[in-house]
Amino acid sequence: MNNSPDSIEDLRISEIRYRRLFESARDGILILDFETRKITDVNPYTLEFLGYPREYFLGKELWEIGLLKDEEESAAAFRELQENHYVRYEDLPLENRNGEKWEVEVVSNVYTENNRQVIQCNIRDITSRFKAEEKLERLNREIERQAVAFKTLLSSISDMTFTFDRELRFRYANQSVEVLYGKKLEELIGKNFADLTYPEDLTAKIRQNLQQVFETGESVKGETLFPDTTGEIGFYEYIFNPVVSADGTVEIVVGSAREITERKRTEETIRKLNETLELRVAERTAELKAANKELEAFSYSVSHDLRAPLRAIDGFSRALLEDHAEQLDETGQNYLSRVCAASTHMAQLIEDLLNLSRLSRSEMRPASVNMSNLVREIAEMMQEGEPERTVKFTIEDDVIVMGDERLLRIALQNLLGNAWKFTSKRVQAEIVFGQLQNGEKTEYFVRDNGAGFDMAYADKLFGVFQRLHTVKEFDGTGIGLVTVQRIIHRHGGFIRAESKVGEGAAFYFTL
Amino acid sequence: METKLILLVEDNADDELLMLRALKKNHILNRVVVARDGVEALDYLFSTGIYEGKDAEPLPQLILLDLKLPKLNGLEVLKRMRADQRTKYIPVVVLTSSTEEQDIISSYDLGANGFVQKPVDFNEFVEAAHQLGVYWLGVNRAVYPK
Repeated sequence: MNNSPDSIEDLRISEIRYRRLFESARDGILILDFETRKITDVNPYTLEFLGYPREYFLGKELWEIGLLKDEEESAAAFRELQENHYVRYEDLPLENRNGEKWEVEVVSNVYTENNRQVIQCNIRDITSRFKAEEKLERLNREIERQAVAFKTLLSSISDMTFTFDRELRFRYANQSVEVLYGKKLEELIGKNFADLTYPEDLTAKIRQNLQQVFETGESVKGETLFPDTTGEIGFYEYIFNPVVSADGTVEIVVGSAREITERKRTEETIRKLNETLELRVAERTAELKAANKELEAFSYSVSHDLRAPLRAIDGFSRALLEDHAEQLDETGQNYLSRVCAASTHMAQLIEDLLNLSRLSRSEMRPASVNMSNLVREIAEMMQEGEPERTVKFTIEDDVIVMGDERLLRIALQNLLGNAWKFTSKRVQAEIVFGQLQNGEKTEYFVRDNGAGFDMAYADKLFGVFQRLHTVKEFDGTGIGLVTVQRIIHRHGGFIRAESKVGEGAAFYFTL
Repeated sequence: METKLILLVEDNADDELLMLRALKKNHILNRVVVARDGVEALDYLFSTGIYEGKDAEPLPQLILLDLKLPKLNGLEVLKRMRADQRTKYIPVVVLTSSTEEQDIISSYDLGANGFVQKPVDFNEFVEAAHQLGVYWLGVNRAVYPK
């Protein structure tokens, strides 16, 4: 050793520095005697750290303060120290006075001091690091667990799910994808999908779609044909979704695909069915139109052709009566006047028939119809036509229905006309119009106190040209009620009649 | 002064007879020329066909025109009449059995002056003829462009 004044001064400075380090270090430092293995010095941090006073430490061995497990371990540690003059324990448990547990890193060095060997133990608290590492491991395990759960989930669904990277290589594929390619996941990972057996035109579309997702960051949906391992081509729909990172780039695309061959087939069948149906409807409509046209032509023909001879019959009969009366006896004149009457009657029948047929063919124009108003108008007209008659009308207000106004007017005209006609022999004629509830249905009625009819023949009421009275009693062709019935039926309703001979009649109808 | 002449265009012999009788009953004593189909009617008016070469016939004061005629139908006759300057203004009353609204519309469209339905009842027929006569031969003022 150099005993020059400089070296002594250096030494003294060195000592002071060392001492300061020793005192102020934020790690625990223990000094041990190499021979006895006992602690000879302890720094303040250790005292603070472990919570014991200085006296506690001095003279104890490491295992006595809990740093090593026992004497055996202590012996082993020292043996290593002897050999290497260095030993490091990455992670030792240590408990302080309060029972708080720490993890510490311990590094021991041997060096010589005053010709004696000394052990210096540096103790570093790595609890937080330890805890962090522990937490990290826990998290990793958790992530691993979730990843496995997720993959299992994906594999259990029948849709195909997969992940692509920017080079369009498979990163993940579920079981359904494996089935599709007839390859295991390990064979698929890392392969660019285009390398797997593919028809080129299909590859192009999918490649374009994928690239679009990577570039635009937006999902892309599509449908495509695709062969499976047997070569059968099926229809698939797919969707590629971008996984957008925080900086806005897309590193990964996840997607799913589903076979829709069956669905496509069904759609095609339905479409074809609809086409056929529409065709059939068009055909049927055309047929109906044609039938209607034929009917129209028929009616037109009737209106011309039947009337002309009738006119001749009537005309010349009258001519005979007027110009040659003196050549005819009473019977002859009688016969001729009957001929006239008959032809007039026939003309009326033709007229009625034509109107009835026109009615059945015409289009319905549904609207809101105030039947009370219609009845009032018709009543007024009838009164004007025969001002000498006194008829008492009782008309319920605001009877409003949905229907074709024109047709309803005709129906009401017929019903009211009948009531008017059949009350003509009454001094105090009364006609009532209104509505009532019959169970769930609303019925509208026209009632009169006229001649009435025998209910036994009620079913004949609605026959074409059927009458329950003679023309002498009451004029008419017997077509009025048929017309009404047809109109009511076209409105989806039903008509019925009630009467007693001599006590009037009532007609009830629904719409 | 021109004789007030009536041209009756009617193919049905019965109707023709009845009409003439009706006119007579109403003391309408004008001369009545009868054409049995559309072609004959036009021939008369324009001095063509069967009327060619003969002295020009006077134009009628009133034309009673049936619609259903053989060869050329009533509407056709009306159309051609209205297309010619000479016959453009002659009053035409369409007299027909038909009540089809389309016929009525077409008749007015083509320039008919009136539309009367031939009734079955002869008395009505006579009354119709009376009213026709009163108006078209009496009250109404006709014009014959040269």
